[in-house]
Amino acid sequence: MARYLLARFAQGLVTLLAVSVVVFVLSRLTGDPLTLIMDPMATKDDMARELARLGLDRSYVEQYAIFLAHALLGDFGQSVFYKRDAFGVFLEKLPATLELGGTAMLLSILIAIPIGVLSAVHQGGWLDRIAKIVALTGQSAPVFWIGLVMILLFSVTLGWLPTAGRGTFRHLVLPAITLGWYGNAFLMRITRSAMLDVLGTDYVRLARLEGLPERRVIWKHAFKNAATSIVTTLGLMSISLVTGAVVTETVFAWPGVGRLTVDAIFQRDFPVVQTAVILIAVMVVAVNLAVDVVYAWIDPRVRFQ
Amino acid sequence: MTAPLLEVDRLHKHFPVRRGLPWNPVRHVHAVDDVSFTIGAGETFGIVGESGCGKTTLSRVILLLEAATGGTVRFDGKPVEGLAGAELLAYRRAVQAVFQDPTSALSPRMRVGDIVAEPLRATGDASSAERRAEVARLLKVVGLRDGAAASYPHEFSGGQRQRIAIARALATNPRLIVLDEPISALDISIRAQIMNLLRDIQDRTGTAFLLIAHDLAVVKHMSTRVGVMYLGKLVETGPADALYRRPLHPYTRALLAAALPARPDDAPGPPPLAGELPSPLAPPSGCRFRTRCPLAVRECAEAEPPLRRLDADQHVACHRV
Repeated sequence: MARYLLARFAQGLVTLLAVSVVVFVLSRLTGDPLTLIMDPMATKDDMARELARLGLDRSYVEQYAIFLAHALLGDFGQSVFYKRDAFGVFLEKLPATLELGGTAMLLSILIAIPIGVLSAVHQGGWLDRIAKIVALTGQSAPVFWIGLVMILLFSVTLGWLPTAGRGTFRHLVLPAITLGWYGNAFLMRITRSAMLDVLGTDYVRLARLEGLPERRVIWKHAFKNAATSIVTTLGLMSISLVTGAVVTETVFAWPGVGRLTVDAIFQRDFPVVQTAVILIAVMVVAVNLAVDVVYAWIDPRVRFQ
Repeated sequence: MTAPLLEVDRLHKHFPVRRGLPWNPVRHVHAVDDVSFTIGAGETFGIVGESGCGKTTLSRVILLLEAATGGTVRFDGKPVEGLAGAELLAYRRAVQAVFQDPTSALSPRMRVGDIVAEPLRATGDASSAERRAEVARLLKVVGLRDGAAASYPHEFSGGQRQRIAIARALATNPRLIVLDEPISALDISIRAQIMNLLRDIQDRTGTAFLLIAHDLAVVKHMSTRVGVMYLGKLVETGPADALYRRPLHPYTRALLAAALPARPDDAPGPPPLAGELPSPLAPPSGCRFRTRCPLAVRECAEAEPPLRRLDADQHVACHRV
């Protein structure tokens, strides 16, 4: 078990290294930040001096080595735009994203899993049919479109909820639903099909024969065995929450790391882009690692392999 | 004669099937059609037949996993349909089951001890210490090592898993155990062990068995009486030795002939059956076996032969015997 986790941890580090190279190169392909931050009247000499000050006149390899050496010590460089520590800028925006993602996740767990289970138990019933339509919509419609339609309906036409921004609970409702819908749909369908699989097995039949109450058959025998797929899906979902945040935060002007990243890309604020992408990758790797640990906890068969 | 333990009386189970478009007419699969038999206390009734003949559906109806569409099942003289509450629980305790695949019969997330103890817990009057003692006793009965209770099912071989499934079935002291192909998923070398274990248990506890199998030798070895099923119907029933010595129905004869002779030098039987099993959606008119029967005449297509008593306790559904 310990060895398995250690191996997974090492794989995670390699992944992070690869991500850092890709983001480092990709962000530099579109040009440099000087055109955006310099006075339009600046001379060629001024430009060259500024470029040297930011360290952007060196070769990519050199720049990357410097960046990596500093990053390993926790220094992700200065934001070109905010003129502050890029890591600090990221941390400042993180709570907003966690608030949004956490709410979306919570909604999914509280809604999608019970509905998925009930859809499987009452297969073909009215709940199953409605859930199917909701899930299909969530999986087919793009996040930004759902967001815009919701703003149009609930904010502009009905006037129930604010159109954008962060603050009260009312601000949270639309972005959380928008962000969570896709994952919710996914989770609901996976829960349903995992439960259908398990409900068809002999041990569930035999549990009924033992005279166990139906509720216990469904939750103790069936759900516990369906949990592996559900946990995997929750892991994948938390990743889709991070990537979905980029779009959702832009649509709803939510001041989180998703929007920070998008802005930083447009401003060619390399240190911020690198910091955001790498730290998001760290979170994704951590979630995957956590899912592996949870597997071993819920499925005794994994421990011995 | 005492009242039988289980009495299956003109049992029907039809499944509605709608193929293709939603407005297509609903048709019915006649999985079990007018089946009647009885099992006495401590007796083994074996049911043989090809795959798809309705054996498993029959067992599921008896186990109340499926609702019958006609007929009744009586246990101890009382109809089991519509049982609820304490009476249903009592029936569940009295009738247990062992299925074909021991791997899917045991929840992979539960320790063996918990699996075997669960029927005791479901009925809920034993303390946890009593349950543990009972689990240890049951595991010993089925011949598993000490300490098996603390392991998970995946740590055991197929034969051992089937022993665990049997131990669980015994936990409530059942009076009838439905054995649905209990050994066909096991290695040949393990089969005899499990069969002998089941017979030992029957000798010791007097539990009746409903044995469902497609292997004729297994059914012969285990059963007091045997029923032969074809396309949802019982075509012949009788005491095991009589039925094997002198099969009456042409289908029974064909089944026995299709089995390999015990000695290679024995004369081969008559040619095996020609043709395919007809669709249970549209069974042939009259006798269901007539499309493949070497003895079929016009009468067979017109009237359905009833199951009638021939001699001793042997019943057969055929116009030509």
